Amino acid sequence: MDPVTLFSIIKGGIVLGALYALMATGLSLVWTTLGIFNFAHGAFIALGAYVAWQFSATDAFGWPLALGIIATSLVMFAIGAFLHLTLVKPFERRSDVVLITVITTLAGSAILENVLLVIWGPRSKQIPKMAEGELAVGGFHLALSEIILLVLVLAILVGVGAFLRYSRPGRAMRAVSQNREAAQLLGLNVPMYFALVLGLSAVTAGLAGVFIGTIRFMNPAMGSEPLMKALIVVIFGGVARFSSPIYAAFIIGLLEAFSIYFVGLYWAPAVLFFTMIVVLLIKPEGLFGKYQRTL
Amino acid sequence: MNTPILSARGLSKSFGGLKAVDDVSFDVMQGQIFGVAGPNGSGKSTLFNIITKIPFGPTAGTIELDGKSAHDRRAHEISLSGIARTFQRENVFGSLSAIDNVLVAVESQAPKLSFEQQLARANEVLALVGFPSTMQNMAADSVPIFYRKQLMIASALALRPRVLLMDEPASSLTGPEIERMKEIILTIRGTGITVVLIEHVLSLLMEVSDRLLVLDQGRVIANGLPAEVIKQAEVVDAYLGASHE
Repeated sequence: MDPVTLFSIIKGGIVLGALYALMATGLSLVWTTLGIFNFAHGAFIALGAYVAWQFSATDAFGWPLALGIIATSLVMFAIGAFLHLTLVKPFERRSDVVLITVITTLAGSAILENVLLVIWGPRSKQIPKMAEGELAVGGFHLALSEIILLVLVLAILVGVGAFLRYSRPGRAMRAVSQNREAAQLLGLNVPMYFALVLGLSAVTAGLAGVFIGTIRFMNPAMGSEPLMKALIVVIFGGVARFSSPIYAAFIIGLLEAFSIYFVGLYWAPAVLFFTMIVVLLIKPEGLFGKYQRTL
Repeated sequence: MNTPILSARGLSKSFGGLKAVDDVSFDVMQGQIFGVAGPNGSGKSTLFNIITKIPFGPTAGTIELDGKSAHDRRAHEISLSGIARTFQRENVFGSLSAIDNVLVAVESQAPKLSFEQQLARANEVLALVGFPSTMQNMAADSVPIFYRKQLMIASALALRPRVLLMDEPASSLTGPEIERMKEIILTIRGTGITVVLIEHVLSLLMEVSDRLLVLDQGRVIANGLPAEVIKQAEVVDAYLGASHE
């Protein structure tokens, strides 16, 4: 393999890893706090992309992309919090909440995808690129939009991590995630923090959707495949720490990029699943996991 | 006559056909240490659960704090209104540092204070229970059991409660640690906070309690001065069996 090809594969893997990290962070936040897997997370990704398109595309509102991203984040937060109230909260106290929310979040996902279809139609769309042009050193090429994407994703992940670690609501969210009853006894409004977590998770998913929308064509079902990858990342890496799925995301991204090169596009998912199964057999709590919430 | 700070009337909790707490009434006066004793399964912890509505409220009955209904609020609001609780097990937020554990409570009780003021309050309650300042930045699940219990108590005190419900604070502790826990309980009472204390270590309960309530199978079988209560035949039977001579 020549160095240019190797660089290209690694670059592709890191970009994929960054997107997976953003998706998986939101998914693992919900898993560690509410104890459920949110199957509407993929629809959040698609919704974020479409909402950002509405704000930023020249044939829609035509706002600057940065403003569109901020507005999209606000919309996604509100939708995430609303879906918590409708899809999760009514079943929170039931012993079979995990099973029930599989169904309710899948239903939410189907509804959201169809809403996208009704509002924006089936035709593929694309969000304007974040920047044109590329850096070229020797034979190595790096698109400016990819550099901006990596910087933004890193900034978002650092921002979410700092929010959870140092802010008052972040500290409360961590407390709620560790011991719901003790948190209530210390005066925390647990349902409100659950809604906050789902809102924050929807923002990260929506932002991932925005970034995907700038490099790929969008369609209402565009979140299904990323959701699958985010699930692999969360299970593969574990959720012991905030950073666990982030490390796992970059490993999965690179593995996928190399798999596509060596075994082809169609076999790449099989490689990922196989790797995940092997890791689970050897380290059931995930590659970076000390413990994992059990069903 | 003074109004009791905490007053329970006809508290009951049923799980299907099982009555875990059955028509329990009592009054706790301001500044008292009010002991609650009873054999395993007698409903002591359930009593605390239904007073705080976490994880469940009573099937019937009322709770008043200083003459006003305490149950007209949501569960987390009861904690903020003046009734705090600690658990038998060290219920701390394991991955949060010790100081962050207490800050969670301070921030929820006094959200408008500046961070420096909140930090000062957190330090104040940690000092009150004697938590070592050298351990403040350690993750809560990495400090020894006694310190975790101190941390849990400090977090509850950070809510500035009027009544503190303590569920077996001496469980899993060594003799010297039980002595230190006794000092902590007396210190808390010294600050004017009323304490309702469930404890299996009877020597501790007898030494610190002003009044003693004994439960058996969810019912009150005695309520009075500790020295008198433990002599009552029904209490002796409940602890040692009906065949005891």
